[in-house]
Amino acid sequence: MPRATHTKSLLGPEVYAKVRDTRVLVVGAGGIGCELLKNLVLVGFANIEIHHLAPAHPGVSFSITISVCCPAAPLPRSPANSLTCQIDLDTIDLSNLNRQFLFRKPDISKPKALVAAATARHFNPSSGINIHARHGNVKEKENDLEWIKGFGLVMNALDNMGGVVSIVDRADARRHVNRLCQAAGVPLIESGTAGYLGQATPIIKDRTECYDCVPKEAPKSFPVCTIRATPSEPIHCIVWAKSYLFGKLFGEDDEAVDEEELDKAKAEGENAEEIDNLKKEAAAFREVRRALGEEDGPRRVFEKVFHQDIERLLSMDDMWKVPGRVKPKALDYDAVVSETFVPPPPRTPAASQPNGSASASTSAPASANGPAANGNGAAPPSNGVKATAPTQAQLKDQRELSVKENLELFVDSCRRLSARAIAHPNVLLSFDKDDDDTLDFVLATANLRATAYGIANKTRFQVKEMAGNIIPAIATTNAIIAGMIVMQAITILSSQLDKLRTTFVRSIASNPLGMAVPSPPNPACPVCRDVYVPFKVDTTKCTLGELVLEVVKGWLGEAHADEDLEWTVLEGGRILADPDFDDNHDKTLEELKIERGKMITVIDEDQVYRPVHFCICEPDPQAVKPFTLPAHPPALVPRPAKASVVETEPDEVEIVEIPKPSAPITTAGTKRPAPDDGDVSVGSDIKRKRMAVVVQDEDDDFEIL
Amino acid sequence: MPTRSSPSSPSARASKLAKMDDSIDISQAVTGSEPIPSYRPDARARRYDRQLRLWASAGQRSLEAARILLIGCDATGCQALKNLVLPGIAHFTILSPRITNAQDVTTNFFLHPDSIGQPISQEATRLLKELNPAVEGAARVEDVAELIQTDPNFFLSFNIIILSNGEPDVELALADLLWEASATTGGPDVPLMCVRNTGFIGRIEIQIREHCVVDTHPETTHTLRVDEPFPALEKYARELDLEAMDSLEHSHIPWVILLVRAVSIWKEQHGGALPDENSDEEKAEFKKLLVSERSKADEENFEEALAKAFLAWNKSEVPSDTRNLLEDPSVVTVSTSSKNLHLLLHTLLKYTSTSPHLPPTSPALPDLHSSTTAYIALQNLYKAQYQEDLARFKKLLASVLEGLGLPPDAIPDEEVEGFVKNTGGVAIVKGRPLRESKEAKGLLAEAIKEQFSETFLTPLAGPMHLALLAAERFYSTHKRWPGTKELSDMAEDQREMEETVKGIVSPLVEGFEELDDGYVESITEVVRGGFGCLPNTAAFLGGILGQEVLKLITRQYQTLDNTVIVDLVKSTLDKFRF
Ligand SMILES: [Zn+2]
Repeated sequence: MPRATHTKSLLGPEVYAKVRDTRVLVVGAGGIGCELLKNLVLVGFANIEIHHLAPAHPGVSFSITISVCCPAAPLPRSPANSLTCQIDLDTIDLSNLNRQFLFRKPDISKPKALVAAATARHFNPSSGINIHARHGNVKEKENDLEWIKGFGLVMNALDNMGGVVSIVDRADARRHVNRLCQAAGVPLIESGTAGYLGQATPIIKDRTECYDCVPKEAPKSFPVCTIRATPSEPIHCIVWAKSYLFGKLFGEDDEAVDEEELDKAKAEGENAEEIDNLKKEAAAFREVRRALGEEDGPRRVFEKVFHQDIERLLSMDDMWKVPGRVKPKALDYDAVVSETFVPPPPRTPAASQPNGSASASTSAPASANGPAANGNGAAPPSNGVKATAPTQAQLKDQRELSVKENLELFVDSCRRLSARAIAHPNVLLSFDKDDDDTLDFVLATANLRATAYGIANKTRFQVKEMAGNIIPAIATTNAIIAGMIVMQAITILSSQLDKLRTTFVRSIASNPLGMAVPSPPNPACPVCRDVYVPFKVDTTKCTLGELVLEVVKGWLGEAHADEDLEWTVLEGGRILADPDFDDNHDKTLEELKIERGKMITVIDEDQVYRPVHFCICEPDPQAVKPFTLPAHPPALVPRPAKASVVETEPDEVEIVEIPKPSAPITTAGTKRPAPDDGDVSVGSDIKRKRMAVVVQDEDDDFEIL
Repeated sequence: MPTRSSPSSPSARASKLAKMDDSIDISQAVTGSEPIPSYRPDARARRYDRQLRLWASAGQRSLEAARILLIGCDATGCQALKNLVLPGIAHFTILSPRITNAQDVTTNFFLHPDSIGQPISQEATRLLKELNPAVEGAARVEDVAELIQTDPNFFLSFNIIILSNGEPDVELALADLLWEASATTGGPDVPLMCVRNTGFIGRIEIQIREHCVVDTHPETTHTLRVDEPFPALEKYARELDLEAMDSLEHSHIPWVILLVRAVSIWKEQHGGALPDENSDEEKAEFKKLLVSERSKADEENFEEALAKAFLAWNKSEVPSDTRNLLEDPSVVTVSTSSKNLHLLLHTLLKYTSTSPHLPPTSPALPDLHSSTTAYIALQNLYKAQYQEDLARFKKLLASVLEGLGLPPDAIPDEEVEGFVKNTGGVAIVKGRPLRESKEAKGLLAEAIKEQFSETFLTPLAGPMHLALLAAERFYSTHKRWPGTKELSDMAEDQREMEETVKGIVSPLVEGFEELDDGYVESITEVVRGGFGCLPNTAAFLGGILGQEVLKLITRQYQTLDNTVIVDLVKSTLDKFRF
């Protein structure tokens, strides 16, 4: 029985054929992804590639290909169209099951994309659906311009934006996909949900705003000293535990980054004495870290972090003269164990606010949709130190722990984590809200620190939300948004671009579904207004010098020969060459670590024109030269007036709550800094604000490319 | 010390993948035998973690007690049910006498090719149950119309009934049954959600007699009472020694305090009167007074206070929505069978009848620029007042309950406290009988009259509702949907539908002659849709249905009252009250 009949008659044979034949890419197999995959299959999309993204865990690599071909309607599978797709090791967690219906309990811990594809396929094996999912480590070499050009449509069903917080710089999958689609001119549908809110946005090159046209909200950040020396709110303790202490003990020990960060803070006017003190403290960490696996390892960490470091801070009299600062009290290990420790007076005498924030400028993370006053979702801690018995209404993880319980939890989680670190020395541990060991550690250390500073303790439920930037997520909103995405997909395939609308699901009863005509591109957009050129190149043969002289000056600059343009060539935020810098000219691109999937950015020194990005693709096997260029060089696009540039500088940059959407600035080769112009490269995306739209999105997994 | 890894930990992944090949269920290997430590959430809380953050454990408890009936086992109904099974309702029953056919399997995700020839309700129940082992599912292979006759109480045993693409006569019979059952005080008031879809068009109608929302999640819950500060607040604000403060402290006094202080001084100077809201002069004068204590021009807290200066002349009062609720006869006069919310509102009525004639103070504060110390001092003032008001409220409530002969603990403390904290966040929705809308009487008749009046601009979805109504009448006559006849003459169905719509409109609109293009197009779209299931429309409607069921069950957030029309071609959703 062909599912087609009814759909076909409604869509018309032409559009239906497009639905069936167009290769579509779905990025993300979480809540929206599950719904979307199901809808696509049912509507008749027959050539789907699903791509799930997750953080890279060094040392873990696994690869498998699923391809389902229907015997009745076999799709040609030649090497040319065999799909290559990478899906990282994002696995299914129990907390996904309240909405990600392609997964069942026995699937827990299995890779999402594989299970999703298998379930969707299983659902109707006779329908001729071709779903591909490949599963591997994140090295996006293959996900280049040519790869994305192979799709007629891309749908971003990424569930996460906030996600697992890491101080490590990571590129943002949304922006990456957006940029690829802009470079390739492939239509994209972007989506996201948060609780009852949701949004689906069509992004068509040169016609609508792209993801980066709208400045996004700056990542939440706190001053260095607030986090490291003078916390005053629970969130400060949580950020310290998660982003500082955890990394110091289990993460990558990067002394240089730490130094740099402190020097920067000092330069920005934070207390110099405090900073010097923090430097000493950091140095002492290496010692306790080495001893972590020993029997008294956790105790030594405790003594250092909760006793010595606090005592040292206390010895700095000037520090505590600042109004509003409350002196902490060092914790005594034996006294806590024997329950004779007297905590300092709490600064929050009565119940703390569930969303715990003292002021607008330092308010807590995403809880806009959290339970309101009348809900009893958050059990109010009684006085910050005493344990309270759980009442009936409370859930287990909404009980507050005593100081002793926190200490025990600290010791226990330290042991568990260090055992893991020893067993898998190549696996860098990082905080993951769904990883109980890491959450326990952050819960215990944040609460112990809060106790020392007289700050209200938080329950596990609350710490998980605050540390994990958890955004509420339910199946219904995902279902509505997935329906919208498919409608937009059909509209795009019908070439009725004038009918495209951005759609919103809102919690406004009077108007629960909003729509808007997409805005035209922002002329100042640093992504979609740039120029992209596919550059088929043999990176082992082509030298940077050839690129600069033949491609940039010769080919690209030819039409502008009379303007006397001077060029700077960059990659990922580092300068490869400029008129006064040709040290790298003899190196091949490979030697400069430029590989397939990356972009080489060319800007003119006077910045009259928008940057031109050369997207590195597989070399043409027939080519005689090491590279092949399009028949005609692109027309250079003048930059708009400087005033309308999108970037805004966040006023305080330090320990960042949301993963920074950027690549590290320093890489191998030259260490020269990139010019101070936010829009020249991916690397400087850090300055751009993120997520101005109403909707963040559902959180469950960390996606990254 | 054994290495113990949790399911999603990075290091566990390597070993897990190896284990996958041996098909060891890692979830059990890891969590199965180990006792869960007391501070860890149990499996239930972990499964529902993301939604608990939306409707809290009170909402979850209601959800886990909910029994849902789905009548009609099509894609739309099953998608809706999926969205309810996942978050963990207690029970669902699917009622349908049909046997699965091949067409069903191609549109409904919750059927399998092997299901063909089996009772559809049993098959879908089995597959839906797989989604969540905590949910109980049952199938009933029976005819709805018959069951309404033979066992009407069956329907009254559910918390919500979803009727997906039912026959129009059945829809009405069930609506009548439920509406009548809810007529008696204390009788069951089971919401009925009727959904119908054709092509890219969908409509949901909700019938419920009365729905109490315990938390609408309003944007703000604070009751700052700047114009009428409670004594402790006024005293605190007046006693602050601004001059003795250093600049840091000075610039961190919360704006609420600055305003309260200025209002207090103003009142003292103006014989107890507030600034006149109609006098620009007085308002300017008040602002001058407010900033007179500013020590330097750019103090952020003073900026905030200036921006909120209107609170000084906006008199605090019982909000109009609350006032309307308090005037409702079912609140003014209560009985032992009154719902908790009515008893609480009745108590609030008494509470506000004495000075200061205001609802209880909420402990919630807005975001403000402040030091931690000053913030906590302010918060404590409001919390103390809340406690005082709560005590007064509880005392009044006790006397109300006693007067009715109800036990003092008739309403759980938790509910009382939730109410007192958020009196502006409750709502009572009074529903309408479905029959009235189906017969184009009442509000629908009014709407039609209005639509055809000279000045009215035809809305997009009004004609769509009439087109669907006409289709239902078409079905009652022909026992088939328009646009579904074999080699059907669409034009013929279209003509008949147009006549039906005219027949609905003409008795209501004097001098009515021709349908305008909007109506004709809507009828065309409805006929073209052929009342078949487009899976994407089904999924979308299932999402909306699920969302509304969740709101009704948790009694949180504003519900759609009472008719919704979705047009996926235009990406619109229109809401009507018929
Ligand atoms: Zn753009």
